[in-house]
Amino acid sequence: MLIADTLRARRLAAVVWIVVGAAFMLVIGYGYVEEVETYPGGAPGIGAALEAAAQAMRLLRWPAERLDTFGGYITYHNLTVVALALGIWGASQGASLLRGPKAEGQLEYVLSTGYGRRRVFASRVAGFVIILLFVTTGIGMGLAVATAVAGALDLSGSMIAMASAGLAALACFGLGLVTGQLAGSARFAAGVTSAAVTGMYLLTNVWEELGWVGSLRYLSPFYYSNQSRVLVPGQSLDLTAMIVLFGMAVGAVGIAVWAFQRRDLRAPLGRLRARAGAAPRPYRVASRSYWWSESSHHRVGLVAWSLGAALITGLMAWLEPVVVEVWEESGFSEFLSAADSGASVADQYLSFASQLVAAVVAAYTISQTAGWLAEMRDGRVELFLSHPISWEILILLRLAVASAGVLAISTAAAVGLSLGAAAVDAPLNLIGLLRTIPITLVLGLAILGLGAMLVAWMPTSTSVILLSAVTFASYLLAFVIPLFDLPDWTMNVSLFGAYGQPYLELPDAGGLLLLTLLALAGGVVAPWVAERHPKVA
Amino acid sequence: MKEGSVSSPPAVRCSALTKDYGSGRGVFDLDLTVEVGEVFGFIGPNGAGKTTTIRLLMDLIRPDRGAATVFGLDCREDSLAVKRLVGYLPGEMASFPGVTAGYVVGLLAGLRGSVDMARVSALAETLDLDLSSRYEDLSHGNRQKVGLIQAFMHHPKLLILDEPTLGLDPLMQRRFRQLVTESVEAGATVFLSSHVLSEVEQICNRIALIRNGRLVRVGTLDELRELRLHQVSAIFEGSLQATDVESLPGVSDVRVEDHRLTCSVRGPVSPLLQALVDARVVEVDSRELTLEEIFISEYETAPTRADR
Repeated sequence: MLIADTLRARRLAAVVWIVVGAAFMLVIGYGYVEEVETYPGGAPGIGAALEAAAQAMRLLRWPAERLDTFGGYITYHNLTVVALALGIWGASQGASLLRGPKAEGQLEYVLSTGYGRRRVFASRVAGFVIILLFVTTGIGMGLAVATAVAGALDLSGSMIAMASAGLAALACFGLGLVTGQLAGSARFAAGVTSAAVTGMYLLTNVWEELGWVGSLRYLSPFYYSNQSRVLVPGQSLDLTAMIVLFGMAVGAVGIAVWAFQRRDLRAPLGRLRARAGAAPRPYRVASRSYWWSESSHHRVGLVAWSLGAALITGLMAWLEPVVVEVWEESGFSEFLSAADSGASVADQYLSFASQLVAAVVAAYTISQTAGWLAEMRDGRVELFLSHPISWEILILLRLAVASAGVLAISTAAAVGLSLGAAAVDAPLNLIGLLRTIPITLVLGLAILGLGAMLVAWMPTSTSVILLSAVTFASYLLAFVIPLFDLPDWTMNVSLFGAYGQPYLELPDAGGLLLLTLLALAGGVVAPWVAERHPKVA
Repeated sequence: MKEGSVSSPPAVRCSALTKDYGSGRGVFDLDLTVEVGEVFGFIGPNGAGKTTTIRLLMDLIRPDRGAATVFGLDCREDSLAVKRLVGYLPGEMASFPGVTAGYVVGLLAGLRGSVDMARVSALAETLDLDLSSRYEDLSHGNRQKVGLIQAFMHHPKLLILDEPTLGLDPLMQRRFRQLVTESVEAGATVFLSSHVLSEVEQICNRIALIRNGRLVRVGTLDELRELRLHQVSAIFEGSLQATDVESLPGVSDVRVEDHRLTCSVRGPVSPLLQALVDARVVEVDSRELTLEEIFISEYETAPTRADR
């Protein structure tokens, strides 16, 4: 019964994962085939050029092998990222599976019916495992179709590759489960675990550069999932790595069930007790503005987002000398999209590094949108609007809080890039760097505006799923436009295409206009739509 | 009860107010007036439409037909002006993860503006609530206290309270009643919903009954008391026939067995007492039915949704 309930609660997410994941495989598959046919030198030529590009992307995706083959390319380009995304999803699902007001409210009822804790735990975990199995199988089928499109159907290889990614996600899920039993809240547990998973992924990609710190890779699920690169010619299934991943997951689940059986409901294991006889802390209640309250309440999360952005851009800048050397040696810089702009290879690389903040901002703004939805679902909107505050003001306040967050993240990313570049004496375009901050803010506001309209229109989780899908489709669009030689203006239809390369140049006027219009629409259309919907969930 | 002046608009007025959720759910053609200074009880069973009516007054949901005003202001068109005058307690307190009770009250005070924080501290003391406690860790009753503090904190002219004593212990219920009394003495009007009739009976001047989204009855406590029944039992030595008692005005449910009489009496009891004296009454016991028992009887006899 509980297994079915767990499946029901995640069925929509599973469908979205399968559709988006399979589409990702197919689109990239088609793109690769198209590119090989038109590229000078065919597959070997494209492989050589891509290997140079892969050096630049090393922090984000690794390993890069046999990029002159479809199997090598899809493993490098798609499977690495899909494994990370599944890992973060698994971690956050694990963290909130048995924690948080909603999950523990249900637990209170379920446990009162005579269901034992171990049985509840097993049912919930089994439910998630089944969902993960569906998701990995579905994406695996999409991958198999992509291999067929590329000329050599490899069903078993596709399934093994996705099984490996799925096992890594299961290990991350186990980690989330453990953190969920120990952390003060599900939200905090999800944040910490997702950050840890992302950190392990990045570390796995660049461990050779990190000295003794690199030995931490043995703790990373991605290190083991990378071992079974079955689609890469010359590579095969690494059963030992798969067993290690399974063991990691089982071990983490074992620790979590141990902790779950010992902790109080609605409290972490080992919750600190107030000291006996301790005088109560003096407390002075003060009036707080929404803007300040929300900003200060989520300050830890914002610091984590900002540090993450700074770390990514900083590490990318730090890799600049290595990458630029490879690019110059291979002549890859001629194929860069900004080769005609007259910018130096170093500038083009740092521009690429600075663009990564766009992905972080996209993820941050989607999380903010999910927070707005929670405000409605948890009854806070009803309470807020029972005071003399209009929907317009509430939405504008929300946008202001989130914009401040975007500004903090984009500034931190710029600082990170500067520090990384300074550490290796890379030449920095200060004007370009400063330009990225306001342009990133406009991108963030555009996504927030879109999110505000969607949440106002559909105050259910579907709106957040839709926003995520639109953002991801936007990323895919920016990727495939050059591959399919689509007209230049189509780039402005994509949020990321419209964002352009602000480190090198101002975005295209049309693109900037689109982003600005979306941002303005959020502040105007969203209140108009929301005003016509109930303010209670 | 304080009477509002003749020219001043009523505190609340609903005219043909309708919100139809389909399948007979919602509220239908609600006509209701609450005068300034009244403590008005809105009672009905679960799902009767109490919360829907309150949410319509607060402009949280929109009516399909009809209109509602608060102090003459349209609840929809003048929503912000209405909310400046109102203190609102929702039927279910919101969730605020990771913050203290004081943070929640402070945030809501910030949204409202110009709230005297000394008043907040005083309310917290009256209701015995530690504002430094983590909100998530509070019991249902203590969360309700947070809701009451934010509803009373700005001395509102109208208090709209949805099930205000839910989760409060008897001592806190008494303190809540004191707060209501103080507010009314200071000129406020109170509109509260409840399904605890004994509570409504203690503090309200006027009561409306709602069932299946329609008003069943509205009246003052005195008017409703006219509905009251006395349950009478007596022991007599002489002879008394059940049919003789049944013919007396206002008497029903008559049972006579072995010199014992039980019956219900609505209205004057003197004809029954005279009959008992004639039958050489030895012992008489009379108990007035509470409003709760009367309303339960009303609900049991009112037409159901399927009957309409």
